[in-house]
Amino acid sequence: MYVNLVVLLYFSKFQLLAVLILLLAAVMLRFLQCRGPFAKRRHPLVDSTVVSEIRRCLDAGVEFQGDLLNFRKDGSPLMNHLRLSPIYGDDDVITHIIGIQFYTEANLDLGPLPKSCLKETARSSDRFHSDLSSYRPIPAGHGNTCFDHCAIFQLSDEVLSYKILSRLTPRDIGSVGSVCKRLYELTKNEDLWRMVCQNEWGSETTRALEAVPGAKRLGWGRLARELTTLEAAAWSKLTVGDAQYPAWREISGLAPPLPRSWHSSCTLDGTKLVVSGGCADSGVLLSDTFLLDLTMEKPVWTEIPVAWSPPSRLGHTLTVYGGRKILMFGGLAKSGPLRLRSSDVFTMDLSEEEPCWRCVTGSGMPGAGNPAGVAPPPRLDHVAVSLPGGRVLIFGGSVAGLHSASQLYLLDPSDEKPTWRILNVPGRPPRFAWGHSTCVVGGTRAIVLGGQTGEEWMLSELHELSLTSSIV
Amino acid sequence: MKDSFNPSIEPPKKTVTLVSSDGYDFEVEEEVALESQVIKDGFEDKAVDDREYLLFNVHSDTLELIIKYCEKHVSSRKSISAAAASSSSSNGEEALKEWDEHFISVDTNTLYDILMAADYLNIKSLLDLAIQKVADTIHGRSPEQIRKKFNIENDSIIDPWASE
Repeated sequence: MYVNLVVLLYFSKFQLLAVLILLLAAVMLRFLQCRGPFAKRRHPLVDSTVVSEIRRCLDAGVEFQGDLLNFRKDGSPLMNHLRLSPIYGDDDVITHIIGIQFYTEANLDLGPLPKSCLKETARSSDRFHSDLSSYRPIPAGHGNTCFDHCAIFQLSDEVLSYKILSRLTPRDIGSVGSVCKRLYELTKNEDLWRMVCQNEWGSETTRALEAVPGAKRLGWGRLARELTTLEAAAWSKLTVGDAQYPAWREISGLAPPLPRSWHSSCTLDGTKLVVSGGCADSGVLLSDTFLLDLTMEKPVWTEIPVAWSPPSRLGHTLTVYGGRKILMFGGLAKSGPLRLRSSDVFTMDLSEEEPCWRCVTGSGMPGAGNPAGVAPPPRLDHVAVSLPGGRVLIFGGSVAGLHSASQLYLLDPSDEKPTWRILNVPGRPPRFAWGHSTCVVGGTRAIVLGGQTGEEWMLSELHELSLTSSIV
Repeated sequence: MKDSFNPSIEPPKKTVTLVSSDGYDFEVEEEVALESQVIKDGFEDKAVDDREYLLFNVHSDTLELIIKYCEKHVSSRKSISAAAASSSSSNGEEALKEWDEHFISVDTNTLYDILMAADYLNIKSLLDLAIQKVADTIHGRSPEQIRKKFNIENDSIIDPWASE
């Protein structure tokens, strides 16, 4: 449909050039029809319901009246009161449409103009389009002077937050949040924090954290911070009332490895059991690594073939980090310079086609010492906790020398040069050092049950190491 | 693929006109334009001689790049599937990835223009590419480095963790 256009001008208190109005009207109709040599970029504040109402009235051949947001050459907003009346010819066909526009200053704060629009205006000042270019609205209330030279703020909050920031890590969001006020406001978004936590920790960990009572109240931003800095980590002693006991079910895997004790194990993907080392019935120390996939109907033990294994040992720990990587720490090793307790760290990436053990840091490995950090004293029968984000926390065990067993040590095996550091936390740690049993709940709490203090067995004492604050 | 048709009955190459916000017409092949989900939606309902699209949000400089991207992806897809059909080995995907990486290595203003245009036209792969590029630019930087990189004025000293 091509409509001949007549524009009647009614000058309001702001005198505008007739040509501009003609252009605006021409553009508006062109916009409705989507044809013609000029285009108008539709501003997000231009009410699309009004636009479709215009379209409806034109199609129906009835008069339209309404208000439409438009823009001046300099980009300042302008309210158009628009009245479009169809004029019928002899044979009931619309031959003309009369458009009448009233202009009023729109009292809208759209913020200063982004740079690229200024650039565009300068570059093509001889063309009409720049009269009509429009801008992303910037929410009022962030009186921020940086908008006019920050291209990134041309992006809408939604794009910035849900599309860009959501791909980053909690640490990145922490940085972004302290850049400026506007970005700070953007990073105060729980959904965003949940997404970046999930990026960092994986969906399984995030789901587990969600199930921890109180974690929700803490908020993902706080949780991310506390699990990154471990500033809120603390010991506490627990007392337990009556509890229901879970029932065990025996699973017999085919081709089982040698029967053993004092071995270590961990679970991969929540479904596969990894077992390594230990002491066979004959008293021989082992260095093998086996995998049992519990999702199979008839689980079969498979040995992970490796060219080289860390020296045989017992009482060590296996920890999963970074998805499918496992970390071995400590234990009583058969060989090596100490010959007894070990503080060596080995890792293996089980997502690789041919997984192999790598020595990360240790007492006796040439060139693999721990010059900058404070390595945990060699030990066995200790506890290793995998933190969201891949760090590994070590404590407890039978420790060489006069060191305290409850001292916490932290290692990030994904660092280029992994370095141990000491983590001091308040509260009351367990007195017992070894022979305890530990499990991790929801990724943020390690529960330690029982153990030997060196003088006596404390079988029913329960302690908790909580890595985040105020979880009741 | 064209060889399977009799040349005499092959329809003339269908084209679509894309009009940039500054009024330039770009005539592109239909399949190139259809890379945009926005154009694809309801495309069939539009009369053939009415296949002209006004891209209110896309300046001609950006539109040129967008078309370049779409053309490359259409032609690469063809050669990749052709290679797959004749089961000849091809590193088409790898090459396209490299091309993408090169394509998106532009100055920040152009990057935002591409990002917004891809969002507006709903070209998912391109939007993804541009977004990842911006995210990569932020990743691992300190607040001060981010300010410098994006030319943002420090209007406050806030510890984002400390507000609660």
